[in-house]
Amino acid sequence: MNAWRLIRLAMKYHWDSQKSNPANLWAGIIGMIINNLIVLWGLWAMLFDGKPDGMKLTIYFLALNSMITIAWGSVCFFFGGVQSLGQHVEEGTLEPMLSTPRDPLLLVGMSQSVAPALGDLIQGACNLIAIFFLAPWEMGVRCILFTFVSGMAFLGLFILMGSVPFFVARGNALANLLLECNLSLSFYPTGKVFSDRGRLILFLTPAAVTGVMPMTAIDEGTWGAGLASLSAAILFLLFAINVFRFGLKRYQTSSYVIARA
Amino acid sequence: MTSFSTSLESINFHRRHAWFNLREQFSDIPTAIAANALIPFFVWILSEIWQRFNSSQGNFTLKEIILYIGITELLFMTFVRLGSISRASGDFSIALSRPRSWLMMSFSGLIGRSTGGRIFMLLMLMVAFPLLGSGGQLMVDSVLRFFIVLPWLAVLQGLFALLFAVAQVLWHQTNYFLMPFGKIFLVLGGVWGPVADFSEPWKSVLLKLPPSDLFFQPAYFCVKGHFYGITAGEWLLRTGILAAVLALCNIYFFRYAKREHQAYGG
Repeated sequence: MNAWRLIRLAMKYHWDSQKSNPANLWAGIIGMIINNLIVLWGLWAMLFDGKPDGMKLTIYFLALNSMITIAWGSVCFFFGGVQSLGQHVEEGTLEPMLSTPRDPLLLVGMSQSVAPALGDLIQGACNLIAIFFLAPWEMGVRCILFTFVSGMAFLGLFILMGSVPFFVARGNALANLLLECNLSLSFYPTGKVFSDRGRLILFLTPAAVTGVMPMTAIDEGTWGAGLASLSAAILFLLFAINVFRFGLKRYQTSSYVIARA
Repeated sequence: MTSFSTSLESINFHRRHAWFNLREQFSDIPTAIAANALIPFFVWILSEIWQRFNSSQGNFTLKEIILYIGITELLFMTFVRLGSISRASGDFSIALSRPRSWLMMSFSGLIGRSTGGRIFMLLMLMVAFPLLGSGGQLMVDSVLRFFIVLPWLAVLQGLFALLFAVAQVLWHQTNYFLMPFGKIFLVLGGVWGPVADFSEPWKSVLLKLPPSDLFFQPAYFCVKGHFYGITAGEWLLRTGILAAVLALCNIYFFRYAKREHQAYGG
């Protein structure tokens, strides 16, 4: 069975399972949409509404919001298991993913689908439609393209953070903190806030590849910015996969973890 | 006389229960530091964002905004937390066999935990504020004012969290409900930036809502020494009415939840 067919089958079973509890499924999706709308409106009202360059920044913020929600939502919905990677490593429960010839990262990713992430995808898609109406169509196209780039970088980020427990005790809690921090840095319009020292610090964090660089490519629309963003995301994903593979050599099974405890 | 001494004994018990929960927040300091380590970082980001977009409005100086965001972040991060709520509702079935009121016990526990968490976070921020460029007398004054409003805010926070603990008794899971509820208070309460900096008509509307009374007004009071556009009496009256409504909702909802509660296996 090829990997795509396996992913499709996994998604089908996840979806069937989620449909069996419609109240829970819809509560999660609607809750996520309300959550995202409140955040979107709140930041807009606080930062851009009534300001001289408000409309220009509103489109920037709408594109950023669309890119991040779709990228983050896609990873969580289609490869939601990577969210639990750190927990698997910390608790020593990776065996089922290691005992087959398939890539363990693919199996971990497929093992779960986060239903509320569908709310992210719906809301991001609505924002994207709004961009096509409010901004030149080229910006909408760029937004679609660089959402894939951001999604790739987020996948890398989940893998990198999930690998932290290989090297640090209680690493999962630390990784979740770093992940949340990076999400905030990507989600706020930090690309329009920092200059000089602040921007340098920003470029030392993964938020550069998940948010700032793809958003700069969408905003500026130059080949240079686009290629820089794409190559940075690919390199970051490869780096994260290699860190995971390197960390795997230090993996300890649950029986060993319990015996040691 | 017996009834009076029973009430006194009961108050004493809940006071000690709250104190126990407060002290518990200091029992694992390394984990607590790790869990809250990023708060100063968020304060820095949010103050930079404020400086870029809202500093021209002149409601705050940079030093003041760092303190304001620190205090609102602190209040929000200890507001309605899933861990605290799950713990409060977790022993409900066992609590039915105890002579104490579950509602009161959960309430005093929640007050203790949030107060302990807030004091701990404040101590961390007191180290971070000077590094972010906002130390000195202004910080000392703000911290002292914070302790004036802390007990009353703990009561209000306890009542809100109790409502979710009761809901958890009924539905076992409230995660998806908690997420947008938290965000409503985060955005409408002015945690990211002062409500005073919002444009009209949002500002006038938001100032009339409970999230503003719970986050914006207390933080504004801590930094400036007075409330924004209202007197201390008006703030107390508004939050007092809110507390009364929440208490009634808790009692009514608890009775319903108790009737409908199903223990695991039920």
